[in-house]
Amino acid sequence: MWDRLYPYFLWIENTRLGHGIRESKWTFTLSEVVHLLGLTVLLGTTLLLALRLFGFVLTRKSVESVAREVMPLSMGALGLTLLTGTLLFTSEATKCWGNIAFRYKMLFLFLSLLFQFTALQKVTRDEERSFSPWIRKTTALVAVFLWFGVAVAGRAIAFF
Amino acid sequence: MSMREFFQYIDATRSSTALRESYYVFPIVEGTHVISLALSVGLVIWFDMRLVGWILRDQPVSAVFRPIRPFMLAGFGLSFVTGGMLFWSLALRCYGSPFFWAKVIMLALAGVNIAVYHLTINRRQEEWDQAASPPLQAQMAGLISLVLWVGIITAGRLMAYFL
Repeated sequence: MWDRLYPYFLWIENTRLGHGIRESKWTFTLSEVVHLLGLTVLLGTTLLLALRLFGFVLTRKSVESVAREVMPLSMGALGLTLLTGTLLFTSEATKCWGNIAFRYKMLFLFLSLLFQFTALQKVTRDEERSFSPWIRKTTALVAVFLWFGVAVAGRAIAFF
Repeated sequence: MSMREFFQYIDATRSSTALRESYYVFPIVEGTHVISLALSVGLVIWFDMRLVGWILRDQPVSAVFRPIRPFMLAGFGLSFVTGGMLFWSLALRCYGSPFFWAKVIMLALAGVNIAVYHLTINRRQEEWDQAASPPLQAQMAGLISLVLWVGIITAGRLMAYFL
């Protein structure tokens, strides 16, 4: 299935955008910097929410109101990370295609996004406290595991 | 011994060479250094933003800082140990990189900022702990920290690029 995607990766790389990013050294480098900054904020938010769900920090404030305050920043960081990630990918799509770490990263990213907007969102908007502490903590752990998985696999792309 | 000779000396040690040439340890250390950012900088930003008065304004400053501190310190510990190892293994290349020196200077400034904050305005924290907007000096400390960490991450990333 992955083999059949190759022509599309090749097409993306040869778009004007792909050429443009490759030819301008600074677009690629700056995208890398913003990608890393966005990731730091995104993972930082996930950690803070996880620590709150575990009851380690900000215990005098409800999970929902902590989430309400930090989520806009987290979503902004996610937007920036996805945007710069797409730019980086576009400039070297075929290299990504042949990279095993990239495939794992995409798998983790898909699962992270899915989990973020279903389970984590449900648990952090749980006004009626309908979820048991056990479910809240498991959700926090899974979210941290998945997002850190994206980061680790992302870092590993450079090593293959 | 000049600075350059000192860096040369580090670079020539057996431990430096071994780390530089290791097949698995180097990438693991480098990966850990990047990922530890989430724990160190990813957590300090909440305290900084609370100091500036951007976020969690209904919470006392101490209620944001104290419980986060152990996790944050663990993150910074990991960042410093792995960063120190990376420097040790690439000392001579670091010496020639302007981004390395920019990063070192900004790290030193971040240290000064933390020291000044704790030795001055933080001494009177009880007076403004509950304030939605802390006094200007505390706000400045938070803002300076945020700016410096963005700069440090940027310099670190560029350093790896042009090393």
